[in-house]
Amino acid sequence: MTIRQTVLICQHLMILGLLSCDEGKTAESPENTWETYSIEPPSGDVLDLLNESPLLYPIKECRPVESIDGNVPEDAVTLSDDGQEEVCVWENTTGHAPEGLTFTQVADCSKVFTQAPSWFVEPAQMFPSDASILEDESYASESSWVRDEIRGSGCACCHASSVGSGHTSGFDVDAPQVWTDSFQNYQLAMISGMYDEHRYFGILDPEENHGFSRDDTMFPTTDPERMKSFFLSELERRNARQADFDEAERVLKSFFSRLFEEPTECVAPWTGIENGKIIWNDEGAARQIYVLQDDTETPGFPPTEDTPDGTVWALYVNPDAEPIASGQIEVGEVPPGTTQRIPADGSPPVLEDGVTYRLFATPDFQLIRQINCTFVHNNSTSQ
Amino acid sequence: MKTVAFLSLILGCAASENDTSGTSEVNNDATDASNITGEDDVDNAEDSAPPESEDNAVCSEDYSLCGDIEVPSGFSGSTRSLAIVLYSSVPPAGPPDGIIAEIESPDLNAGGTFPVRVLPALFNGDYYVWVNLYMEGGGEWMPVNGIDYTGSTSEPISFDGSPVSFDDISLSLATDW
Repeated sequence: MTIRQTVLICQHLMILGLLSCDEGKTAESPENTWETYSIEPPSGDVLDLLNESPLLYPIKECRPVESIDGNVPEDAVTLSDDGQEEVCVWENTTGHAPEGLTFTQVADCSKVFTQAPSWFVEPAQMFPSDASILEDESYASESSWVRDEIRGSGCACCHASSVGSGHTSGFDVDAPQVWTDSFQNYQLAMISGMYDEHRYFGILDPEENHGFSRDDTMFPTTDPERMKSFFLSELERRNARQADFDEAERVLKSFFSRLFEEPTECVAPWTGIENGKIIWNDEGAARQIYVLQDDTETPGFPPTEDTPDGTVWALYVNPDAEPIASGQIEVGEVPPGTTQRIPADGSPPVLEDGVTYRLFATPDFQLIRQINCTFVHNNSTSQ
Repeated sequence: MKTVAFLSLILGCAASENDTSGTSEVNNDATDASNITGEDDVDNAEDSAPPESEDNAVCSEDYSLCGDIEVPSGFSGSTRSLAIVLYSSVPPAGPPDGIIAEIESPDLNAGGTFPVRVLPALFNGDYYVWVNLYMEGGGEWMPVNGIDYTGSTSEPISFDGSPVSFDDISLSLATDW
């Protein structure tokens, strides 16, 4: 069992999920019922990405407007260096397409698949709503609006079967009839925006994200109050109990608890710097290695949380290169197949004698850490 | 030197309740690994097995983690892997806070115990020790109900660099996954 598999020991599969194609049917289609609904597990290249690929770093990808199958709003169009009209989207779980477009119309899910849990759980009806609620125009309108907001986000790669990404898991905003039925109560509470922990997934500047913000809600939206109000009204409609809210908060806090583990002092001969090399007590190899100022927050999800203020040195192993094992690298070394993220100008990190720093390394962004300890820099022994 | 530095997990074969070997007696009686000397059991142990005193000696070392996993009496089937991990709250709701050990195809017997002796366990804070035993035909990403087994400590245990022991963890068939 690999470390990636181990970290997938997860009961409450939520938040970021999975995919499959079921194009042609909408949630409101009469033929789309829970009795006939099914989602196939991912396969082929999608499955390979989910199971085998290291995290592919999120970047903003641009495509010619003329290649987009859909109406790109004028204000979403930019000019490339050679004067070509293009539309640019962050290929990330927190990214969003221009309003009116689904994520897969303007972006590729390959990177998103590597940023989210890789297991498949077929969405199922977790709550039995009376489908007649869809006859309420106000309800249907708000439900459709929220669903469309989610279809346009990176979350759609794993949670909107209609976008055809090849992988839908956990919940599906294209589930039959009342699509929120694919959520349990505590899951609805988690995504409602009631709890600030969702911010640890990262927040792109709305100006970089076609006006969509996720400061206040789990899913990026142009109207946080409207989205939050919909989910809260859903919880009220279901008569959610305090226990549901308590569980939502517990799960969210648990999901990010690794961000708050206090470092220990490095312990020779297991962790720290030995003979100039960074060592950790784990046969597993690392894809991100950091030296942080002592009081720096723990690095989190890219692209917004992975180099917190106080990062002195950040080295990332390229996706096509082998990760680095304990004892293989010195602080400041940039071996082939790696990219120094901090300092961004490529200059060597500057460590001061007698100052306490923190070593942090992880197999692949936020999965789990291999080293999280402090050391006092001594130029004569550490270099 | 490097070998010593890496996590050292002493993997004794789990012994059944009816096993009369010294290993069995020690393991089944062990509730506080740090106090066990195992001296009475060494003579009965097979030549190839590590002496119990060596197994348990680590339990008094700083940064050690010791305890036993109890295998249910009705246990049968082929094991695929055993994952021993740490969570800050249970049931698990995401990636573990730490990985203690991952063991391929552990040799477990019905009614027996599986000793966990780890040095070092370099964690800081309070965590539950959580165990997932994956069986052939069971899950890969999470336990499958009625096939795989799970278990955990009833309370979180504190890691602060001093020797840590945990009460026996009883495995039971996975449910509610």
